[in-house]
Amino acid sequence: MKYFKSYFVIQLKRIKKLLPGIALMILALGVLLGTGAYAVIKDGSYMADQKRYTLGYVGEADNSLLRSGIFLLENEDSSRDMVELKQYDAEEDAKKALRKGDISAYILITDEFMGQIDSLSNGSKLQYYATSGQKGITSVMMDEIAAVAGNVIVYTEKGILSLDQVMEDKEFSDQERILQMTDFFNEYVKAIMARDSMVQIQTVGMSDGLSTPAYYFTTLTLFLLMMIPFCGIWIFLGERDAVARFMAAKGLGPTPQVLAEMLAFYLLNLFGLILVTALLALSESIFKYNLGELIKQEGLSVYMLPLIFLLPCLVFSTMGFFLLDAIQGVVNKVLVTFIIDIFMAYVSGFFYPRVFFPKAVQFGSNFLPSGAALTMLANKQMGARVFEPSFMLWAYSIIFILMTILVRKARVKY
Amino acid sequence: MIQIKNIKKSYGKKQVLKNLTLEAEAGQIIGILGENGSGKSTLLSILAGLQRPDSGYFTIDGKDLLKNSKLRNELVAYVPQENPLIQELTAQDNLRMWYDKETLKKELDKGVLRMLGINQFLNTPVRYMSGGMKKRLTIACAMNSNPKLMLLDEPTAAVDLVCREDIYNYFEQFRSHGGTLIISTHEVQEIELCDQCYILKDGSLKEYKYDGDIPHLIGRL
Repeated sequence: MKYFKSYFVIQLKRIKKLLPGIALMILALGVLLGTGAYAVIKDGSYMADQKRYTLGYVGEADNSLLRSGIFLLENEDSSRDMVELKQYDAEEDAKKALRKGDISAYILITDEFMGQIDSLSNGSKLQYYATSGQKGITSVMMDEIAAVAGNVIVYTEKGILSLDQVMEDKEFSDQERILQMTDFFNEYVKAIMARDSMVQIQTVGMSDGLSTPAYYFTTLTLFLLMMIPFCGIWIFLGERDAVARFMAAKGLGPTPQVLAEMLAFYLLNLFGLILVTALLALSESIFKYNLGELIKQEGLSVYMLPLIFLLPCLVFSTMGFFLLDAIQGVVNKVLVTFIIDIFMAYVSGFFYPRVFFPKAVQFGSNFLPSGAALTMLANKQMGARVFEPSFMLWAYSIIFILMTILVRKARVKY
Repeated sequence: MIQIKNIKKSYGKKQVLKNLTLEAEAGQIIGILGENGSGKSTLLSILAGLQRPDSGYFTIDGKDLLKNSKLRNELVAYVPQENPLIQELTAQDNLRMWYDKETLKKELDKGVLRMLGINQFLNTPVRYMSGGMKKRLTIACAMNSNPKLMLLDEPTAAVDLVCREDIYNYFEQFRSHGGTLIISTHEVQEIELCDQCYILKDGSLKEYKYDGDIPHLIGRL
């Protein structure tokens, strides 16, 4: 360990030389992601994004019952925030729209189904079509549709039949019974559909218990931290194997080499985080907003960010270091690392809430460094337990360090 | 006295070095010749401590250097074929890794660094240096611990004639102070510099007396 300090100082000097280019890249990335996040959060466009599924339905447009049902779904039901409905006369048109991606799924409402509703029976089922790639969305949609259809058909039917029975027992005339039952039916459907007015629905979170702005802010900051190692790619260029062999021959083995390099690299990543924090603080003062208020996290100050993201920064810098160091060739380094980062970010819900992915993917993403980082930050913001995800992040950091040392040992030998 | 005895090294089933033995006196220059892939770099890596042999001994003045890595790092300097310098930094920054401030000044004034002409490009970043400058700087970095043995892997490959001359002069200086050099080479000029030459073939060393007959040498490789 005689030369550890000198080698660490050398790494800091290298970073200092490369810093202007690295800082520019980090700033550009920060501005890009920050602008995107600000635009989404500030103008509330994410609210519109929530209505992201267009559901087609194929059925007779002149059927009054279907028309009133669709009207109620579009205007009264709580699913209206999430689902937009589009009517098709022919199934072929709906299929084409599904293939083009204009709609997420479509429901085939057959004459038989409408006839059974008219006759107050429910022996027929709605036919639901979605592409195979929408398994995650399908489950959400099916739940929603099943709930709506179930409420309308089953409970309405029971209520109306009970009323009919009571009126028959009380010896009302057929005309009077039909009149009362029609009024009752309309009121009943309206009441069931307007579930928003029956209960106070509060949005507790879009994903992982976080409000939408907080969720976007957390995931985009994590994504930025994942990308910062890229900005330091120059550190991993040149004849690194020759340097490693020379250092080892002088008595500085693979382990202290990797530790000194990683420590310097982590400091670079922290610098990136501080730079972005400074940028945020500057934008706060220029555009006169408060980050805590903006992302609906009371008491959050922009200056707390480096502390909050300290551990995720560690895991992403060790992971980035391992990948960029282990992979040979500039093009391979960039391509492989970028693909891995994007995959992990996507699966962990950085771009899109992970609640929309199949259960197995959701479960698996918890065990990725990116997923564990999101869980830890979400739990921290909600005041929940952070031990498990924090432990996982520490464990991943240590694993990445050990794997880098193993790779370095192999390189020094051959 | 440097003794290398019965060194064996295999990669899987392939035996690269078989009972390799070599002795050198202080002040000698030993040349190791051989085709590419004959095991020259493997031998130097073992002596530099980068790889462990399967068996064998390596001693300097009776001290076992395969078991004492700290001593080996002091007594053995290794100059690899590739450039092991930090590209972004200057010669001075690279040297500061190995020399403290005072020693660096002393060596630049009248020591090994002056002899290698490092003063001429002390503040030049490595990336702007010629091949000869880089090689001289690498030797300067390797020599910080006053070693007794210098291992050089093709030291003057891609180095211009003037720099070669400077480097050869330094080798002569080093040996005149009792240092020993083991050079892996393909260069005739370096072979002529050597007191003893060995050809590494089929995992064993065979002594070879070079008399300027290059076709004969090629036939032996």
